[in-house]
Amino acid sequence: MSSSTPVKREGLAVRAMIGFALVFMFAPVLTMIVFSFNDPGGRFNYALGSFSLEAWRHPFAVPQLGVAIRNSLVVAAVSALLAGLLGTPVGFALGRRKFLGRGAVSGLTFIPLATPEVVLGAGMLILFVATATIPLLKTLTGGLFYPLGFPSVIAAHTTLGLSFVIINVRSRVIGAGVTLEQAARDLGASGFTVFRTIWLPIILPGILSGALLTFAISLDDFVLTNFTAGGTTMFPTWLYGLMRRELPPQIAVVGTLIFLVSIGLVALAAKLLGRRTG
Amino acid sequence: MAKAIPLTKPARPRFLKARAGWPEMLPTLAWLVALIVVPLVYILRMSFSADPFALTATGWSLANYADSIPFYWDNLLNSVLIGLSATILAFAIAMPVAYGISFYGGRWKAVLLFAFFAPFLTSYLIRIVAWQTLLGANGPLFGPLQQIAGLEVRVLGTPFAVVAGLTYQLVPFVLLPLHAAFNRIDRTLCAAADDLYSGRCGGRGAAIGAVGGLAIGLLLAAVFFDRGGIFATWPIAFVLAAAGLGAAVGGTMTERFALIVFPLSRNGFIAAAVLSFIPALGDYVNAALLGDIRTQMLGNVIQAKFLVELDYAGAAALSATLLVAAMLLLTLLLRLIRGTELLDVV
Repeated sequence: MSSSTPVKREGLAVRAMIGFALVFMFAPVLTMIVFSFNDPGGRFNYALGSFSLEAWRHPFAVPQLGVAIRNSLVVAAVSALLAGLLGTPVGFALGRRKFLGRGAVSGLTFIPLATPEVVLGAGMLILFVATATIPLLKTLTGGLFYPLGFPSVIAAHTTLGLSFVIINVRSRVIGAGVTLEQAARDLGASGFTVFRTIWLPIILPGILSGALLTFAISLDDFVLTNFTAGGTTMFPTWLYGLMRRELPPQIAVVGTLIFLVSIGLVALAAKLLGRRTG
Repeated sequence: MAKAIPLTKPARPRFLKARAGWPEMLPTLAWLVALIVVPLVYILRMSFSADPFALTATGWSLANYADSIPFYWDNLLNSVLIGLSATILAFAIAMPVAYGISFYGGRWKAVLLFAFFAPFLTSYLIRIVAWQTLLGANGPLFGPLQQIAGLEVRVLGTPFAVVAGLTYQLVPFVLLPLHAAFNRIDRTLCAAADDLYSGRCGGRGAAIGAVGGLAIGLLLAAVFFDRGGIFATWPIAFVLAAAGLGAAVGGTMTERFALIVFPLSRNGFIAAAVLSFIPALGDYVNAALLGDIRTQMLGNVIQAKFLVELDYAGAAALSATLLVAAMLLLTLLLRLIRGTELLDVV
């Protein structure tokens, strides 16, 4: 039928665009991988020199690189755990019930996504400073957040991750399980039984994907870390300082490792959680 | 091919009429208020502080705004123009991709979608380093050009490099809401359109595309080439090429996309625009590492004032300006998607 021709042509054009876009998306990744095997011959790994496995043989030969990665991994893990724990009840409530103030809670969840990170980071920085300079806040927080360090970065990253956990859990819950819950309640199931046998299997993938996303965002993030880490050696801020003096190929190696491990984690999670739609 | 179109509307999600569960939510809500609402309100308060170098707000004054906004006008303009350019280019890349994955992805849907997010599983800064490498004069793209042809191409340190890096970071922010919106479209409507001989947009599409291309071309020319120098020969060719490309895309676009998919995914487009333009407005790392002194954005000034100069009040006034712009955009989003739940659009 001749009427299907424009659609067929569209299919071809769209596939070509996807191919072109994939090249754009993976060009930097490929550059990173290629440059991890590079011996630049100078202090900056920006131009191809000769092939070398040196950086892969000694990936942590740059002073403080190991510490920076370890600190960033710890912060990412703790933030993911905290965001998972804190985000679940809100995502669950937003998906399951209509209640007064639901819009306000949704709005509160959305604000971090609709605020420039530099503003959020700056706001958190002056808040953390205020917890040391305003006596009432100082006694309330016990000086935990200033001087800046692990607690302040973790608080910042958890806040960013919370929205993603809430959105993921909510989208799992919405429209699902309500009739099952009503049936179970009619048959006399207690609130706890309903939660354990009906809701937990529904929301668990949402919690895990939200927490995983928080982990990835925390590891990826530069702006909030820059504002809230203070003197703590975190990978992105440490690298930012290092780049002024040198850029060893080990950075590309570590980037490649993070990339491969993250892809492995996501693939594992997808396998564990089974096929998800949406 | 033709299938019967179900005449019933899809069922709305059901909700329980139960207690809200405030006690379980309380710790989280307290956390969000303490770490989002309080800091943002405090920024607003700090921006009216009378003592610029005090670490806590003292007294009231408008001087921070009066001193900083005229002084950093160029940076504000950079944020808006570079941010807008990157947002538009991110749409140009992500829109066909989201449409293609959703409508032509077949069994590769999940894999393709993941492929577009995989590059973001490295590290923000390492991605920018990779762009520095790619665009550098001695890098893999332009290095050989220089060695063989003796051509020295300077891309790093220009607005083009900043826009390229920022566009790259924004692609997922556009792709995700658009893909979600396209996925919700009832495919039987498209089948019906095909049965009714829907074709390509033709002349009208080309006209609209040409106007759109012209506008985008003018904006990009204003950003990429010297400001005010739009009418030198090079930029004119650039703008004309953009208009021609727009006409070609508009003319060959299927009516299926223009008349069915696009209007039905309006909320997705609005969400994608807001969710990509807001981070673009505030970005500063791309400008710092890929640009030069003339491409510095408002974010660069804010971070320098907060972290280097310790001018908290002045920085707060500039942050508050960004914040108000973001909140206005959010309000616009809320108005435009009225009737749909906010969290349903992401």
